[in-house]
Amino acid sequence: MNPTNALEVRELHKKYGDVTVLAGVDLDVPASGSIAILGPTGCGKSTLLRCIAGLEEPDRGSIRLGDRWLWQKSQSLQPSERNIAMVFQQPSLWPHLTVRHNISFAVSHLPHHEATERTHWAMNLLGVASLAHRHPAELSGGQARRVALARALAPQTPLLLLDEPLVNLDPDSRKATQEAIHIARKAHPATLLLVTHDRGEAEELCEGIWPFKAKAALNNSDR
Amino acid sequence: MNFRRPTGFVVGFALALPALLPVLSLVAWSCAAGSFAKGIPSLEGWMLLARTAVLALGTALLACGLGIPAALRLLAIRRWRFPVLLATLLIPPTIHGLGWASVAAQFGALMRTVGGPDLVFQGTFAALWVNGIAFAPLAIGLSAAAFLQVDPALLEAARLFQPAPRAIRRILLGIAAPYLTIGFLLIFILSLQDFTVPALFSVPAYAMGIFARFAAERDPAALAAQALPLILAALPLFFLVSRAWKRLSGNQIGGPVQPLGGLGLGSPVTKLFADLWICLPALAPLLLLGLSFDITRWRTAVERALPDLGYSLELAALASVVAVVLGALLARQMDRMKRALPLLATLCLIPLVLPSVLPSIGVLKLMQILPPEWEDAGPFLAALCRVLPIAAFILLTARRRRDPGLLDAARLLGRSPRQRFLRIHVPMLVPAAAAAMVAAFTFTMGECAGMILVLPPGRSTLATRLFNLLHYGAGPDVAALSTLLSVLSGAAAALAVWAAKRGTRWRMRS
Repeated sequence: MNPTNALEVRELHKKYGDVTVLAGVDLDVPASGSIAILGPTGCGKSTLLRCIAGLEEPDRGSIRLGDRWLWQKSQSLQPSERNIAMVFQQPSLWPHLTVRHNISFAVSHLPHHEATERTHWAMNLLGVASLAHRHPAELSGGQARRVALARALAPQTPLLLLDEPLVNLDPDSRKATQEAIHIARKAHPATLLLVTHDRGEAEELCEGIWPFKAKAALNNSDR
Repeated sequence: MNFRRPTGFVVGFALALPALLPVLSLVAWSCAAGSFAKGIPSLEGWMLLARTAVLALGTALLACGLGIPAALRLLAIRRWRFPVLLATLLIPPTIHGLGWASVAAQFGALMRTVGGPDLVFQGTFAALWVNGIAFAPLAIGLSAAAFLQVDPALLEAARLFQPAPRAIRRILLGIAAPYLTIGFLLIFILSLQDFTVPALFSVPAYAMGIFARFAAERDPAALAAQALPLILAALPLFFLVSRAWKRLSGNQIGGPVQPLGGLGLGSPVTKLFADLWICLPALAPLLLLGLSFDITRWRTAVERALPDLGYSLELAALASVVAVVLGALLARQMDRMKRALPLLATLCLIPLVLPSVLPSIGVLKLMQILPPEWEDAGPFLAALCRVLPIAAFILLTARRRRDPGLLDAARLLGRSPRQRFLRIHVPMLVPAAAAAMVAAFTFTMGECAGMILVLPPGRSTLATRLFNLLHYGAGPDVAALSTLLSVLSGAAAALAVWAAKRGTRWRMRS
């Protein structure tokens, strides 16, 4: 257990205009542990993940990873400074770059030899080395997910966020992607936070399940 | 070409004919004249073309150098800056030229009072600066359009791994590069064609040579040969535009576009920088207006120009409506084409990349065939041949950005073709049709060099009247008419935005 990668979210609030999406969310994920956030579509799960990643600015509360404050009232780190990787609902691969360059971009801040090593490690781990010179338009849905996962793993960040990574996949691609996540977890035991609305997927991929109770969102939609 | 369905190309060609007719007429006239070889540029001609190309390249570099960073900030912060951009887009380049000449004169006078050297604002540097600033709003608009093609999720994914400047450089600029290159080439071509600003600052320009030669010799074949290098210079643009459309098809869906938030572009310093950048093209024309403001002379100038104003509005309204209707049909036909699309798109681009005097010369020949009572068709045809491709390309881009799933859903739900057309297709294309109409209206209102040749005796448009007044320098008359021209085009744009919003809502409700 590495205490430097335990995630702690306290009293997190987020509003979009008049609609409260997050109202005082508290969340603890132990170091190198894995938690699935389970909840219906539109309850604010993805917003929570985006706040942790730094892609959305919360209104109140705090987010801490190990001994570093990612966000609190007086302190906010840029997404690239947070040392977090994320896999989005869509693969979001950069269309003008090949598979290899998509992955190497994530480690391009490292010295050249180390970046090359990490890129090859991630490509081999996820079985996408043979696709290295292809562009995203030339990949199948399952291949694109594996590349997105390889891109997230290459920097070996202490926290990995997965936002419904298996959505819109056929059964074979789902299975292959699930296996890829297991392989990735074994090779690099980062703290994992998964967002899903599928209980089976949550049980398959994570040690713990956290049912997301979006009281504020429900209250607002009732109004 | 799609040999399996040749009728598709024929139908497309027929719809594009109003745009192609003046060019075909010029080519036919040239072939009949048979003096093509006379027009091939001499060594001096090639040297002049090279110098003009260097000036155009410098103009495109300066405009895009100003435009790309400004567009980034504009999308990050928006608000009142879009109307300013729109207003500066509509200022004719010659007004920029006179404005900067006034700025230089004022500065020179100030320098003389403190015993400084004389400031001479003439020559290549002056033409380069004025053209660069005049085209900067277009570069900002085209760059912003290029950035809006990029899915914001791709930029978010990059921001997780690298700081914002690197994410912008490698990902945003990388993905938008083909569209930015099209914008750069378009400005290069427009600058290559323009001779008004170089003429103002005593810089010889290749396009001016074409105009002068026709005025002296009336030889269409020599003229067509002389214009050939300009078409060759536009070849990379043809190639890139065709490639960009192929990219749009299939893998782009028309989702809501988002500004570039969260990139650290919204700090007070960058806001100030962006404001200065965006307002720079408005600076000299505003100074010119301020210096020559005289309400009595302004009123007199506008009253005198009223008949021309009426004629300009009539012509611009007719050309823009016909261009949008025909452009919608042409875009529909082009959207169905596969291999034949690059050929038809290239043909449609030719009237746009030629100096506007050339299609007008083709129109002159056509007018000799038509009965004399059709004399008003000349300016209309000259305007339509330039604005029809613009309208068609805007509408084609909009068609290709539509989510095909939405159209399939409408078909599966069993709506009749009429209902599908009225309730699904039309609302989705209304904003693009409004944009096409504004572009066509503004373009026709501002068209001058090509229009002078085809106007019937005793007729003039607001732009040609302004051009004639420019011979007497910058005065209240010029200031009044250029303000009127900009305000009218701005009003048309505002009206179109309002109509597009209202039209879409009404269709959705019904």
